[in-house]
Amino acid sequence: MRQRTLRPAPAPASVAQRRQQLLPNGVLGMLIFVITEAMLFAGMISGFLIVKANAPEWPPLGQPRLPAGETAFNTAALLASGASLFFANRAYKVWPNRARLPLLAALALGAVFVVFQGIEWVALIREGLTLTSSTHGAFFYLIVGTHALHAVAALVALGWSAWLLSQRRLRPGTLQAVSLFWYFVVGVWPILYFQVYLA
Amino acid sequence: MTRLLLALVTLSALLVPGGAEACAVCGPGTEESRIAFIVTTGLMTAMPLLIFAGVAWWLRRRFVEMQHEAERHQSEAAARHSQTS
Repeated sequence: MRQRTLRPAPAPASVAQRRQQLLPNGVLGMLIFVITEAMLFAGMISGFLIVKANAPEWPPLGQPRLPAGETAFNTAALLASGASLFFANRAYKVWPNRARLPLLAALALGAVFVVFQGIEWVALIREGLTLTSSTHGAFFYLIVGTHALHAVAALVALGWSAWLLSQRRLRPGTLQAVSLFWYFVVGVWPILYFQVYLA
Repeated sequence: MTRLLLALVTLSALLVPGGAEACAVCGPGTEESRIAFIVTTGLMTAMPLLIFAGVAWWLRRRFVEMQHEAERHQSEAAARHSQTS
C-alpha cells in the first residue's frame, strides 16, 4: 500500500494580507488624538473670546502688551518648519535618505520656535504678566502654554523619527503619524497668534 | 394635545430667546459679548461635524484611489500572464 505523505495545507491569507490597510494604525490613532486636541483648542479659544468680549478694556490696564512683532518671527520659523517637514515627507517617498536634511531642518526650526517662545515668556513674567495677574495673563499662559506643550512633545517625536531614520528603521507610517502631529502644531498656531496677539 | 402643547412651548422658546436670558456669559448684555457667544457656540457645534465629514471624505477618496490602484495592478498582471502563456 502506497503511503501518502500529508502535506500541510497552504495557510489562508490573513485578513490583513487580503485587504490592504486604508491608513496605518499609528496615523489613525494620531488622527483621533489630533481631532480631540483641536476641540480642546477650540474650547479654549471660545472661552478666551467670550471673556475678552466682556472685558471693558483688553488687555486690562496695567498689563503688558504682547510682543506681536517678535512672535511674528517665531511664527515664520514654525511655518518654515512645517514646510520643511512636508518636503521631508515627499523626499522620503522617493529616497528615504534624502529626507534626513529637511527632517533635521524641521526639527531645528521647531526648536527655534520653542526657545524663542520661552525667552518671550521670561520677558513677559518680568514685566508682570503672570498666571494670576489678570484673566489676560491666565488665558495667555493657558492657551500658548498648552500649544508649547504640544510643540515640545511633537519635537521629541520628530527627534525620535530623525534618529530612526539615521538607523534606517523609520517606517512610513511612523513618519506620517509624527508629521500629522507636527502639522497640527503648525496649523493651529496662526489661529492662536491671530486671536491672542493680534485681534 | 400634549404634542400640540409641546410644539407651542418649543416654538415660543425659539421666538423669544432674548427673554430667556439663559446664557451664563450674556449677563453684561453687550452686543460684542452676544456676538462672541453666538460665534463660539456655532464654532463648537460645527467644528466636530466638519472634522468628521472631512475625515470621512478623505478616507473615501483614499479608498477609491486604492481600489483604482489595485485594479490597475490586476490588469497589468493579467496582461503579463497572457503574454507569457
